[in-house]
Parts: sequence; structure tokens; C-alpha cells
Amino acid sequence: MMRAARIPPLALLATLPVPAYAHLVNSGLGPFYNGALHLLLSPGDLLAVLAVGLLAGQSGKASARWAAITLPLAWAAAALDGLSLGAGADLGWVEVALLILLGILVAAGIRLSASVMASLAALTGLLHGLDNAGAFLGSDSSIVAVAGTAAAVLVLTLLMAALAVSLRAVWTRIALRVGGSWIAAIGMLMLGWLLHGTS
Amino acid sequence: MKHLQPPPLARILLTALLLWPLVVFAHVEGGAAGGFLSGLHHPISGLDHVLAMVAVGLWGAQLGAPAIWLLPVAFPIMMAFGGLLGLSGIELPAVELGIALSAVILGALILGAIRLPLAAALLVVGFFAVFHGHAHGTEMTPGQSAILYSIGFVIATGLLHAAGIGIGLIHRWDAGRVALRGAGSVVMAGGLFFLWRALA
Repeated sequence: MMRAARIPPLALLATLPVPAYAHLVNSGLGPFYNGALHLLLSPGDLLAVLAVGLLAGQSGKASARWAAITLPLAWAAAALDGLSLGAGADLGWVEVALLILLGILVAAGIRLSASVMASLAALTGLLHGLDNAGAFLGSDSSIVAVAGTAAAVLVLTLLMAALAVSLRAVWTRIALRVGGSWIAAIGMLMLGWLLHGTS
Repeated sequence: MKHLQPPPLARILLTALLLWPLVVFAHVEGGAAGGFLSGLHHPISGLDHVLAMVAVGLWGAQLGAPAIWLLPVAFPIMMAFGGLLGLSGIELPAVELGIALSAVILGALILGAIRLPLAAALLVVGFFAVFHGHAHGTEMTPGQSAILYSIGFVIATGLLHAAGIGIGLIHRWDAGRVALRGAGSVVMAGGLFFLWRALA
């Protein structure tokens, strides 16, 4: 007791555990929908899925189909891998760099081959899945929650890719490229905030 | 004489509306919504920024395709690059001067209906966008979500360009072309005012 009393209050304060806010939001509809909602409430992840979907759609139907398969699968595999390891990973830098690349590719109107698009989608899925693994750790049925997130990723990728594939009018193709420039710009600002130490 | 009576549903709705509790807005927006709204508000909070961003759209509309959409594609990317420089702690000399000059130069280009080559037009817009990003991209209230601030910031910038393009579409009519050049003179005058303030 005497020894404890000598410890400066500030040191005690410094040893307090930091609360983790990376857990899933409770949707009230069970772990599957908690996982799906997790994606919709994570702007960084959502933006990455939008970017992959738009780029895949811009690249054509074959690329879009491969991206819609590889992105959710890689996401789920990486999240499950992170769960088995018992931790997620902080991959903010790489994710932001990838987001800038995806945005610039959309803005430049570049059409990627199916294999390159599938690889980029898989890389995005792996990074974000691993990064999000920590969020599923506290969940009652973490595997079901991962499935919910992967399903949401699949649906969003399909919607975005289908939208981009169906664009025919010139102004809509331009709007798509403007959207890409916005994604790249947001990525660049995020890179700045990471350098600044705020995210 | 028969009195006009509101229908029962309308009476119920009116009563419910009168009994509706008032929401207290005694707190600043916090968390996610605060970050997004703060980012959305920043580009429109200063007239110098608004003038320049609308002018980019006006000039793009005056130049026609492909500048009409390439300028608004280049601006946010270069603006974010300016924000990146600011957040990295890299100082730019005379940021306020650069912002004021952007309105002067863009206004003058619109007023003179000057058709620069596409590469030169992109260079002009990209150069000035760096100053705007450096000044505004870094001004987030502490504690807010950086990504939502960035999303709001970029969306507001893009919508200002869109407003400029929308106004600039009057260029297809003879009278509209004259009005557009007049709008350029307003942008230029505003820029000169901000330039005078920056130098004073």
C-alpha cells in the first residue's frame, strides 16, 4: 500500500488501459447483419469497395466479374486469418496508397485486363480484411459476422461495377472519371492526415 | 353557411406537430456527422475560395470539351496534394496571395475569353489548386473524423465546380457568352479585393 501510494498519480493514469472502439455496431438483427453494417459504417472500407467496383466496371464485364469474386473472397479470407491469429493489423498507409492508385486509375479512364483487375481487387480485399479482423474479435459469432461483411462487399461491388458497365452517355462516363478524381483526392488528404498523426 | 373544416387526418397531424417536442441544438456537431459537415462547410466558408472554384467551372465551360471536365478532375487532385503538403508540415510561401491571385488570373482568363492550350490550362488550374488545398484542407476541428472531413471537403469543392459549369453553360448563346465574360470580371474584381487585403 505504501509503495502504491508513492506512485505519482500521473504514472497511474498513464498505465490505464486504452479502450478499444473497433468492435462491431449492434444492428439488432444478429451477427450477419452486424458484419454487413460494419462495412457501411466504415467510410475508409466503403470508399475502397466503391473504387474497386467503379474501376472494375470501367474495365469491362470480364474484369467486373473477376473483381466481384476476388474482392469479397480475399476480404473474408484475410479477416478469418486475422481472427485465427487473434489480431488485426494496422495497414492504413498501404490502404490509403492503394485508394489513391484506384482513384487515379478511374480518373484516367484506364481499362484493366481481367487478371490485373482481379489482382488489384484481391489485394484490396486482403488489406481491408486483415485490417478489420480486430473488429470481429469481440463478436459472438465472428465467422458469421465476417460472412456478413463479405456479403455486403459483394453486393456493393456488383452494384458499383454494374453501374459503371452500364454507362453509355458521354457525360456519365465523365462523371465516373470525376468521381475517380474525388476518390484520389480523398486518399491524398487521408495520407496527409496519417502523416499528421490524425486519422 | 357551412364552415370549412380540415379533414380528420390533417387535424391529427396538426395536433401532433404542435405537441412535437423541440430538439435542443445546444451542442456543436460531434463525431462522424461533425467531421463531414465541417469538411462540407470549409470550401464554402471563404468567398475567395468560392470565387476561384466556381471560376474553374466557368472557364472549363467556356473552353468546352475536354477542358470542361478535365479541369474539375485536375483541381481536386492538386488541391488534395496541397492539403497533403500542409499536413506534412511543408510550408508554402504566400498562400493567401496565391489564393487571391487565382481568382484574379482565372477571372481575367474568363473575361478575355482566352483559350490556352489544354496542358497550359491544366497547369494554371493545378498550380492554384495547391494553394487552396494547403490553406483549407488542413483546417479540421480536433477530434473529428479525418476521413469524413476529407470526403465532405472534396464533395463541396466538386459541387462548386459543378455550379460553375452549370452557370457556364450559358456560353452556348450569344448573350450568354457576354454574360459569362461579365462573370469573369466579377471574379477578377473579387480577386483584386482579396489581393489588396492579402498585401495590406
